[in-house]
Amino acid sequence: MSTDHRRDENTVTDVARLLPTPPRRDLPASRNHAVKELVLSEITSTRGTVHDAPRRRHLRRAVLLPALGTVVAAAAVGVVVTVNRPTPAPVPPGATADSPAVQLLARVAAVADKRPSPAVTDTSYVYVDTMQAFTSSGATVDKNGNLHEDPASAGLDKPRPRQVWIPVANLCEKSLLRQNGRDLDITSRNGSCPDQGSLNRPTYRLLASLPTDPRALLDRIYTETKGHGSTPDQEAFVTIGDLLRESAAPPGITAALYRAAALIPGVTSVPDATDAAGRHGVAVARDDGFVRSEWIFNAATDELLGERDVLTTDSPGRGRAGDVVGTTAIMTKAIVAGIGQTS
Amino acid sequence: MRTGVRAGDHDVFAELFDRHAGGVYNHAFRLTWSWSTAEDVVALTFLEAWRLRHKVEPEGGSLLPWLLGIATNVARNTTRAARRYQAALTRLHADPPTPDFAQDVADRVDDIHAAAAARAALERLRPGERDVVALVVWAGLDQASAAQALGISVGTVRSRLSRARANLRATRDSTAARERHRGSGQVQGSHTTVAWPGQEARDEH
Repeated sequence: MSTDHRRDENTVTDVARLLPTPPRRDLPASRNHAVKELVLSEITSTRGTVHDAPRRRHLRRAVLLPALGTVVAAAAVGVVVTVNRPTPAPVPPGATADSPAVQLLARVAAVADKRPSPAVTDTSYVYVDTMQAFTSSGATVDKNGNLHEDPASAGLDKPRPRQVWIPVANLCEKSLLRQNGRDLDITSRNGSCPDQGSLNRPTYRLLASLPTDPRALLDRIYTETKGHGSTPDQEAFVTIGDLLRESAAPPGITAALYRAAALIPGVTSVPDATDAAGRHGVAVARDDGFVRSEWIFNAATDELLGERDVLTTDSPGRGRAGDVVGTTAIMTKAIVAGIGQTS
Repeated sequence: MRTGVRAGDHDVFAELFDRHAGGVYNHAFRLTWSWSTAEDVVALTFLEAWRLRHKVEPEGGSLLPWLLGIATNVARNTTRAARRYQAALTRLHADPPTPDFAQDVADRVDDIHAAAAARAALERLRPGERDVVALVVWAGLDQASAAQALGISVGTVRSRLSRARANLRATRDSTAARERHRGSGQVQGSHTTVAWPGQEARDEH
């Protein structure tokens, strides 16, 4: 054992010697303060639920996930809906071949399949313009660091425009998020280059390389999302939702994503749902026991309009069952020649 | 500390932040190579830690390995984590950059070169090896803690480290060969002890 230990120590020392030493620094004091305040204010909006009886554990965990406001995530690119994915919840009855949800997905898949393939080169960009709104947290922090809860201020924010430009082939190229009048460089710096991304942050080329067989595609999604989310089924559904929202794929892949979603147990339909731009449509949905995530389609054209998240359980500090906690409208999605271009 | 975190005690959580934010910040930098992204990862890590606090075992040592494990997942998966807390991040970015921060950036040109060199070396390794190297070599966790942080076995940590060493040696040797070829040959086999970070874990004791 001690021989093992010594050998391990040697390996570590060797590796340390072989690698250049990265720089270290302290979190600048003012930033440290900002981050700490933020964390404390977020966790405080859950105060009062903390010592609840064990039977409420599931609910409590749901509350802890953000109720938070406005749209953004600088670090984040392709994603935006505040979906709660906490503990496993009772799964609604599985969709059957005849269920309205499966029929709707088959229809939107057929429509997607017939769209022409866009002209794409390696230097093109995927441009997506959306309107998005989320529930704000009621808690605020004053300048002395004291926390104030204001349940009245919790509620859905006004939808705000958000635009992203993502490189078609290589995430090492510049990516941009424009929102609330400011441009945010969201270029990936995590990986080796070139980088086609992953299912969590895909390029068009990555999506184009996915299988078009729905079962194979769904298997791939289950594999890549293993261990994430509340349940594998919900995570698969949410992952497909992400892919449909702020990324673009060849028509055959988009169709396959819809067909794959139809294979996920527990997918239901909602006869009338409204997106962030106020447009009505029919929705395909999945409920994780706390929040129902809906993909809304134009009932006449079967095109994807947007998304909505609706609480299905009362959630203290966040809202009551039936409250909308997140909403998106997809306004434009296009392949463009460069950053800043919109057509 | 563990009991307090588990019970959702805000004061204890604040203390957890004070103690480990710096360690998480530096680890996050070594995963993302951007100080501003690292800041986001710190925020997301502690928010995730709060959400996952019931998973903390009442008995045990420092919570740093647990936090670094969360940070590793967050950094690999910023989009998904950020979606959970996007409003929070919005507020973080809404704060105007402060003078000390700007000054800092100006002071750190050397850091940029050091970071580029470390990053280039690390990226020759496989992703799984990088995670282990970042935790064990740079953050100074012992191998059992790193295994726990990453949810893998100690044996896997050990074998990834060995592979990392083999890869790095191969790179060094081929670089040395090239250098010799160019007639400068000084690189090889310098056995000076190089200090490496590992400060986070050592701060604990």
